[in-house]
Amino acid sequence: MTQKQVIIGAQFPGVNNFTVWSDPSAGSQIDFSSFAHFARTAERGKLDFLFLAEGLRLREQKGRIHELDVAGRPNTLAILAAIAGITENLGLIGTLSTTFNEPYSLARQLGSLNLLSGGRAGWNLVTSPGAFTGANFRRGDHLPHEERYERAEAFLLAAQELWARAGEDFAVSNKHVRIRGRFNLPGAPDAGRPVILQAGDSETGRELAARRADAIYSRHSRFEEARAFYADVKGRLSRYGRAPDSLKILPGAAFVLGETAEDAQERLKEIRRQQVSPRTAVDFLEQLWNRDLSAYDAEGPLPEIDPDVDSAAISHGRANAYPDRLKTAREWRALAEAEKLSIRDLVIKVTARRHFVGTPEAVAREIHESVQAEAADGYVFAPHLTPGGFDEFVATVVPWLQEWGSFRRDYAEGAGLRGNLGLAA
Amino acid sequence: MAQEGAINLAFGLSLDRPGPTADSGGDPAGARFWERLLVRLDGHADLLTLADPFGGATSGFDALILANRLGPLARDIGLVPAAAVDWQEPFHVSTAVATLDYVTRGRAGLLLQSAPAAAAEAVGRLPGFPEPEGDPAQDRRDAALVIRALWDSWRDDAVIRDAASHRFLDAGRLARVGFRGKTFSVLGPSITPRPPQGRPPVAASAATPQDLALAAETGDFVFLASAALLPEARKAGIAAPWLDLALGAAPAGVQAEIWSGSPADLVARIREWRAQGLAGVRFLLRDLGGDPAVLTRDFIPALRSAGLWRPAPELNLRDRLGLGPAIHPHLLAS
Repeated sequence: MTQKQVIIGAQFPGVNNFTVWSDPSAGSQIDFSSFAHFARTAERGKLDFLFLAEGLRLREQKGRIHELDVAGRPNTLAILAAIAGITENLGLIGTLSTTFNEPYSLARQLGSLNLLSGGRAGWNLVTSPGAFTGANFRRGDHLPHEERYERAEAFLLAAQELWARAGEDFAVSNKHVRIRGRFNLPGAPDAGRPVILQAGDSETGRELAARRADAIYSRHSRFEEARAFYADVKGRLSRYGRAPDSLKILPGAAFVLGETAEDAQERLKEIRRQQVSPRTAVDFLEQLWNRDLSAYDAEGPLPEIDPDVDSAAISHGRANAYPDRLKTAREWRALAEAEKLSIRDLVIKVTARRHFVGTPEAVAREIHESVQAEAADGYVFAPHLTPGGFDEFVATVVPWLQEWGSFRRDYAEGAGLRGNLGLAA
Repeated sequence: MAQEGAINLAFGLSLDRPGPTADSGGDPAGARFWERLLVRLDGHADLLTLADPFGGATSGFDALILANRLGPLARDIGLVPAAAVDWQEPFHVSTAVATLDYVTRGRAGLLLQSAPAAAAEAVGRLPGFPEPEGDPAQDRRDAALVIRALWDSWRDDAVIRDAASHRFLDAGRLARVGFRGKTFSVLGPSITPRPPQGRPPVAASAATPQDLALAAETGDFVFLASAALLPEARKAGIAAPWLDLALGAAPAGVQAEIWSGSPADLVARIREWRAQGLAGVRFLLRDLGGDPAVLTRDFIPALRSAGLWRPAPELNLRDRLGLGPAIHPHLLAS
C-alpha cells in the first residue's frame, strides 16, 4: 500500500522573536541573497513550497517601534516573483491581506506571478487590524471589524471571477466589491488562478476554508488537537460537494535536530533562550499586562499587580490577543508558582511552538507517522535562522521520508503548486 | 545626465501585445519570452522601462511583478517598471520598488504612469482614491511624494543587531512619514528597509506642453514624446529631459519621435539635441523580433563609437543617471 504523501512547506523566518538574529550564523533579513539561499535549499530538498507571512505596519509597543525582534521585510509579491526567477518547481505562497488590497489590482499581480512562475503561486488569505494597519493605506480604517471575513470571502470570489475572465470583460457587484472593466491578464481563463490557503480556526474560518480553500495553514500541531481539527474540517467538505483530499491541512511547526535525542533537547533549550532574551520576556509580559513592566527582573517572579484592563492596548501589530487579561494573568501566575518559573522561564513555556525534536530519523519518523495517522497532510516549518535554517533538515531529514515512500524523490515536471500538493488541476 | 558629452540610453517596452515572430521565440504569456528578450537587451543600455497595462484593454503582466521576475537575470541593465500610482497603494508601490532595488542590487527605478479612464471602475470608485472631479495632478504629486518619503523612513543604519541591549533595530533611526493629503493619508514607516540606492530614480513622461510642469515636479528624469518639447522642458525646469524614439513607426497608442534615418544621421541629430539639453534617449521597442537586433547591432554601436554612450555596469542606476547619492534627510538637518 502506498504511503500517504507528506507535504512540506518552508516558511522564511519572519519578523518576530522566533527568528534568532543574535546567532553568529544569522544572516540578513532583507538581502536577496538570503531569499535565494533559502529558496534554493528548499528546492534542493524537493519541498512543496516556500511560504511568507505578512505585516503591513511595523510592530509597536508603548507608542514606540518595537526594537527587539527582526524587522524589515520585502514586498511579498515582489520577492516571490524574484524567487520565481531562480527556481523551477518550488511553490511560492504569500500571505496577502484582503483588508488593504483591492481585487482588480491584486488579481492582476497574483495572476502575473502565477503565469510567470509556471503555475506555482499560492495565496494565504488574511485580514488585517483596521485602525492600526489602516494608517498606511488609502482607505484607512474602512472596514468594521465584524465584516472582515465577509469582505475576505467577497474579495476572493471577485478575484476568482477575474481569473476566470482573463482577456474578457468583467462585472462584480455586491456589498463589498463593485467593479467592472476588462481583466487584461495574459493567458487562458483560469491560468492565472493561484492555490488558495486560509488560516481558518474559528467556526466561521473553518466553514470559509471548507467552502473556498485548497489548504489550511493551521495552528494545531500537537497530535490529539491536530487529529481533532483534521477530522472536523475534512468532515465539513462533503456538504460543499468536495472530496476529503481536496483540502490539505498544514499546521505550522518547528524542528530542532541533534546527534542524539538529548543533544536535540539541549539545543532546543538553548534556542528558546536565544529567542526569549530577558528583555523579550518582559516585553512579552507587557503585552498581556498592558502596562510598563521595565522595572521587573526577567529572572525574577511574575508581577503581583494585575493587568491594566481599563486603558487602551499598548501593544500593536501582533497576532496575540487576550480576551480576558485577568484570567490569563492568574493562569500564568499559577503556572509559575507550581513549576517555580521566572518571568523568562514562563514566557519560554507559554510561547512554545510545536517542535519536532530529535535526531533526523526520529524527526522524520514523527512527521511521517503523524501524516499517516491523519493529524495533518504535512507541515509548514519555520526555522529560527536566516538563511540557512533549513539546510540541515533538507540534507538529513528529507532522505528518510523519501526512503519510506512518503516524500517525492523528484518533482513532477511542470506540476506547479497544485501538482506538488496533489490537488486536481 | 551621464558623463561629459554623453547621454543615457534606455529601451522601452510598451503595452502593445507583441506578436510572435521568427526571432522573438515563444509565448508572451510565459516567462521564457521575456527572459530571452532581456538577454538580448542586457548590456546595451542603462535601463529598460516596462509599461504597466493597469486599467487598459491590452493584455499584459503587472510591470512590478514582471520586473522583479526578471531582476535576478538582469546582469547589467537597470529595470524601471511603470506603475499607475494614482490607482495603487503608494505603500505597496514603494515597498515593491525597494524590493526590486534589493533584487537588482541598486539598479531599480520607477516610472510614474497614468491609467486609462477605465481604471476608476476597475478599482471601484473608492474613498481614498482619486475623485472623478478632483485634481489628478494633486493625486499624482501626493503618490510620488509618499512613495519617496517611505524610502527615507528608515535610515541606512537602522538595523543595529546590538546583542548587549538585545535590540535588532534602533527605533530612533526610523521615522514616521506622517503624510496627510486631501484624499488620503499614510503614516509609515515602511515595512521595508532603506533601498540600496536610498531613493531609486523616478521617471515621469510628458507628451504635451501641459504635461511638463507635473513631470518636472514628480520625475528625476522625464521622457518626452517629441523633440519639439525640448526647449520648453528646459524652461519648465526639467533637469534631465529624455526623448522617446521609435524606429520607423511608433508602437500602437504611443507618441514618439519617429526615426527613419541611419545610425550616422542619428549620431548627428543627437548631438544637436544634446546642445538643447537632451539627457537621454529611450528606444521604444515596437517589433520585438527586429528592433533589438537593429538597435544592438547598428544604432547603439554607432553611438558608442561617437562617444555618446558608454555602458557603466559598475555603477548603480542613480550614478549612471548622474543623480548623485541619495543622502538621507537626517544627514542634511542643520
